Amino acid sequence: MSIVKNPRVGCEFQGALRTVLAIGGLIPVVHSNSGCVIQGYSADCASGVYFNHGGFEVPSTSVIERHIVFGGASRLREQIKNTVKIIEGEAYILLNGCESAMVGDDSAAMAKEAVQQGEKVFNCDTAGFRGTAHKGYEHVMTEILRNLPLLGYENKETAQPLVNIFGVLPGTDVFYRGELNELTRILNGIGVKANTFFGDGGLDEIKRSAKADLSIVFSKWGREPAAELERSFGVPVLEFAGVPVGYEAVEKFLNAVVSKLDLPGQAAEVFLQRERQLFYGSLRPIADVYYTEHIGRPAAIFADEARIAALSEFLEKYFGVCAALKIITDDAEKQESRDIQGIEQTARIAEEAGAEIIIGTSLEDEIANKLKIPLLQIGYPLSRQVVINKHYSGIHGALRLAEDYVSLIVKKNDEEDMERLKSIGR
Amino acid sequence: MSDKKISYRNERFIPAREKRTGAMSHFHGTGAELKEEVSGNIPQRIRTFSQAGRDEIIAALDVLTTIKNIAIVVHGVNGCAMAAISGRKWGDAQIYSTDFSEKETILGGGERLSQVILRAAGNNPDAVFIVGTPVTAISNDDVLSVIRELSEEISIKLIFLKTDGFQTKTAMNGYDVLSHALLRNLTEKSGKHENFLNVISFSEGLADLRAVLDILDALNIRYNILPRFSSINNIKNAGTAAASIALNPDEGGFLARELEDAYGVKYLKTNVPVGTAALRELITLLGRTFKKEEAASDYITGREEEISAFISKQPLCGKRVFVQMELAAVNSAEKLIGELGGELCGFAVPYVDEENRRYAAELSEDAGNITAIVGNGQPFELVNALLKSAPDFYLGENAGLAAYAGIPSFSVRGNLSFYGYNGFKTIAKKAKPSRFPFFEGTGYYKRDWLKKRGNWYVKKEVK
Repeated sequence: MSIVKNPRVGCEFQGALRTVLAIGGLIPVVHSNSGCVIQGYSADCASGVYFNHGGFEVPSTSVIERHIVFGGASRLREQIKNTVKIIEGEAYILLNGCESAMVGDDSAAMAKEAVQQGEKVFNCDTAGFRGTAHKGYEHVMTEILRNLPLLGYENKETAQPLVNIFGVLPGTDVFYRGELNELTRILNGIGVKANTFFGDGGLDEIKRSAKADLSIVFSKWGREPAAELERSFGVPVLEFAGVPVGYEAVEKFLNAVVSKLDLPGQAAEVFLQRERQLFYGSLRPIADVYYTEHIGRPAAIFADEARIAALSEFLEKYFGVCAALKIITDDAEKQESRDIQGIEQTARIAEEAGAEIIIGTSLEDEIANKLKIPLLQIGYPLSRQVVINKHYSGIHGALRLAEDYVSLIVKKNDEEDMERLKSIGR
Repeated sequence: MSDKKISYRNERFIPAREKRTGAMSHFHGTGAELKEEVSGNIPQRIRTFSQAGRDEIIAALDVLTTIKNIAIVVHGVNGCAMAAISGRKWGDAQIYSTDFSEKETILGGGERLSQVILRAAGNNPDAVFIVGTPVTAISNDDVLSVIRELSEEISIKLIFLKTDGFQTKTAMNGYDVLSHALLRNLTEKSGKHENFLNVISFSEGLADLRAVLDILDALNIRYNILPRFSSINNIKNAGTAAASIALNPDEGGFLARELEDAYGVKYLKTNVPVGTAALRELITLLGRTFKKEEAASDYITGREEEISAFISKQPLCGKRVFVQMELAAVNSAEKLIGELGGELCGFAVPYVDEENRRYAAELSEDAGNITAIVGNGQPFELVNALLKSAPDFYLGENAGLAAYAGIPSFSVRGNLSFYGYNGFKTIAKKAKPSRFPFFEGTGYYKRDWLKKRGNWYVKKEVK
């Protein structure tokens, strides 16, 4: 049984909506009660995550009692009709909440009706009770790709190799925007174009996805959409445990891409040489603080499986941070089984494991406060932060992570010194 | 204000605002047309296009997360508890979800609810609030039976809020559901009254609350804040106060009236404390009620002298201002804007009902021709109204949305106070409304449809 204390990323509907909001030109039409959208929006705003035209601007049937009792399909029909009139969009996706799923509204039929009138409208059942926000990304991305025949296809813009990126979840990964920008930069560096779907390219990138040379998957949530493209269009798949963080991971990543795309061996060399210089050149000067502050600390990490894989490898390799405890927060079935143990017990486990820093989300602040150790926030929900382009991936993100991690340790050491100062009567 | 004197304390649940007070959540026209529209039986209208809005669950969670040492169990899907994340910043809210999966939507979640309540009670909170959601309303979970059973096992008070999420279009119904549950479960009828004031606040930020408490401190009036930023003890004591004020009558009027009807706590009916007239009226009434007339009069004189410099500078001279807030607050804001030299050129309110329509009637004659819209959220309608009324600036609760219409905006939320005498200082010194520098046009909405009247897609409800 699952008891969730302090829900973390939300339900399937909320994950699906975040994903759709990140795709320019695709307009969500929500069939649910009015608060479903705002629940996720409030949490996003409090967690540093913002979308264009999210929250109150999202078209929603805002069902009321009569639609529950008598069915809400006709309400959805008129909402579709007027949304396509009012909201500028290239295509429209119906996202159903729990209510419409429970009362059995036939949203697919409503979408079909709209298609018969020449509109690009399709349906995705995203009842919140079916899973977590992670599942919402997986489900809605797969459904969008399944609807490529309706959305249309586009050819590649240039002759350059094109790759699709899957498994970086808009919003649910708080740093998704910066992360995708960094991955694009790295791939461009070796002459490969990236279809991130959630940047400026919007729906055009979705339409080009079938023509891509490769789909790269960075978390288990990207497997199903990538598999959909492989099944339908034969786009091969290359999977990684997580987004690369730090020079060595980037080098490994690029070499694998070069090999899979059968690019000339030297394609990555010049770029990697420059990145290597940037990475090591930036970190080399911190040797003094590296040693005097004793920065390698055992950590308790609370994060999605892919993020744990990426960050713990980087932090251990370069900063001597051993993961004393790893708590995976995106279990495939239910997201937060750890919460059944409660804060007290989790704090005790982290303490017994010898954790001296918590790497997690704002939900871990209670544990960090209890153990009086620093908290580095790396995931949803963040507190007191606004995320625009921040990220902890690739080379630029690895440097940012190094700054934030080392600064926390220095601050903690200073606080301990202040305590000592007090203890000697000053 | 309606003179209905029916207390709901003995009812298990309260009807939604639409049924109770005729709340209307759609209108698009002028101030005069709005007055006319709500003067008799308030008509219900239906949008055939709508955008997302707050609901009663969010309203209830917004307040619950500020109450000290309680546990909140959101009975439903974990996404229905997400709004509570924003309340974590206030400290110790313990938020649980029964985390429904498909199985519970079919077989019910009573057993799971019991286990979550027991777990939540294990941390010894002062009360456990069980918040209903659409899923549990549709699956018809008998929450009250679960509570009855568990109440034999545990001594902690278990309180159910029947917030279905779809029974009303008026989010503020969540405040009423919460008020009703608090009174029914926590407040005893003692018949004794002590010399203190209930300060009823539902949505005010700490800066606005502080601005009002400064007045009470200066007059040496003891107060009891509830329900926002309160404790279970504050709530329990509410029935023994001498009097209550609702900082925003649209939000707190129901609780204040219930306290008066069921417990004999006098409801001091005041306007939202913005502008000298509303403040004078509030302070004078407080002085009279707590027998501090002279101190109240001196205080008014002192503070009015203090703000006279701001008023004489007429910082809003010649400015046309569009406001978005509850109707009770629009009334006060119009006066403040006028005092500072500006004029109201339009307003947007979330609802109008039998309880607050008097504020529409009390708006100045000039307000007869200005734009008036009613809607919970509904940015398309807001953008439509803003583009047509072309204000010099927008003052309200959704400054971000107004900014997307390219209108210079200033938010009345956040850590500046709009209430009290500080409000003058805020508007005079800090309100430098600016156009959003990253504004790229209203491209989200199709231009042709923005030109039409903002309510072309609304139809009259047929019963």
